[in-house]
Amino acid sequence: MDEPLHGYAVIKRVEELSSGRVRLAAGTLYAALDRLAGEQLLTVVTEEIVNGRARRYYGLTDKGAAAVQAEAERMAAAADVVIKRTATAPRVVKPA
Amino acid sequence: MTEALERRYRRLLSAYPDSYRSERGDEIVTTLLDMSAPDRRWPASREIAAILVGAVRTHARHNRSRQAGQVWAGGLRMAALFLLAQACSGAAIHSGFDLTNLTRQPAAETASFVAATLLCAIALVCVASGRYWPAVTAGAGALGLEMVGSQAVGGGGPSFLFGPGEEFFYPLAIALIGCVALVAVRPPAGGGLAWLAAVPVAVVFLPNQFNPASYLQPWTAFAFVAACLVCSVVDSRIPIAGAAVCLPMPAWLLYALGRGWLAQPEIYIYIWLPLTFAAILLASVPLTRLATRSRTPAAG
Repeated sequence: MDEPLHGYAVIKRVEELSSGRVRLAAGTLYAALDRLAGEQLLTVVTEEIVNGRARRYYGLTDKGAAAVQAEAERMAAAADVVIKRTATAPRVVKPA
Repeated sequence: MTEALERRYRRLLSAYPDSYRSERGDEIVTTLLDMSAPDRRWPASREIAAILVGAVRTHARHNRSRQAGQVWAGGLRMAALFLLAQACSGAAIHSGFDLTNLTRQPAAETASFVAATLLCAIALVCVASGRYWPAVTAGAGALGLEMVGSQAVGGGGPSFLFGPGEEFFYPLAIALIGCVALVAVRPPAGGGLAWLAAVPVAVVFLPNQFNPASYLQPWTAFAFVAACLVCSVVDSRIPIAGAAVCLPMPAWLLYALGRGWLAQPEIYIYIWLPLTFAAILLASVPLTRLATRSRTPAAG
């Protein structure tokens, strides 16, 4: 979200942010990138050749940033409901 | 090590459509190599699975983005390729039997069918590589040779119908009509020599004048039709091509009726089941297009 990233960097960033729980396969990543680019949520910001290998850097579009914000707010609201209900719900005490 | 791994990843990426691979192939390989340990020689199983699933998704997405005209033109080309592979397999089997002297046929017939096999193969490669006029010429030559060879036997002449033990040339005749149409339509080509691999597949999976008597038919033909239906999910051109291969089956029904074959119980297997599959396949073409249209965004 902060800066444009190439495919491998996206995979590493996802792994870091999920504390190693999510490790994207390249095929999965590029299918997602294609879908998001098709929906104009992200775009190729720049391309470069490093050691003879092609790299494309992907960044969020304004529409993509707004979609991320909206999704984060939706998830936060959902989490809030669960937290509040958990705090106020009466505890079930099993008889001895 | 890296070269071998890169080669294997590139081979795996051939599952993607050509246009996608030429645009994104290098980038995906770069990412895959970045992710791999330095001593790795073979692609990881989870990467193989993800690439194959991604390839199917990409094919399906490309299929949805095709215009109806492109689908029909591509389907026509694929139909010509299927039928030429079937014709080539029939001529090759005939030649094989003649050359091994199993059928004890005259040399003129043997020579005709060997030459027809070569011309069918040439026509197949020509259609695959987008050279449609040479394909028409080679196909017409093959058909002429088969007719001459068939007359040399001294039997009842060629039949354009599909029946157990009968000579039938309908694949080549329909393929020729398709090739003439392709001269005008000129859909994008691709595949070239690789399409020759379809000939041995056609020997087993498509009906020819020898295998209806074997235990493989009509079941392998049903497997072919079923595969066409499954593949229609990712490519609407495939059921069009499959339906073209099934086109002569109603004609065969009339032929069988004329000969009184319907009295034989096993004939039902050869007639009604192929007809049912052909009807499903033919119906799947417009259904696939309708489903595609409903999934395509309004802007697309």
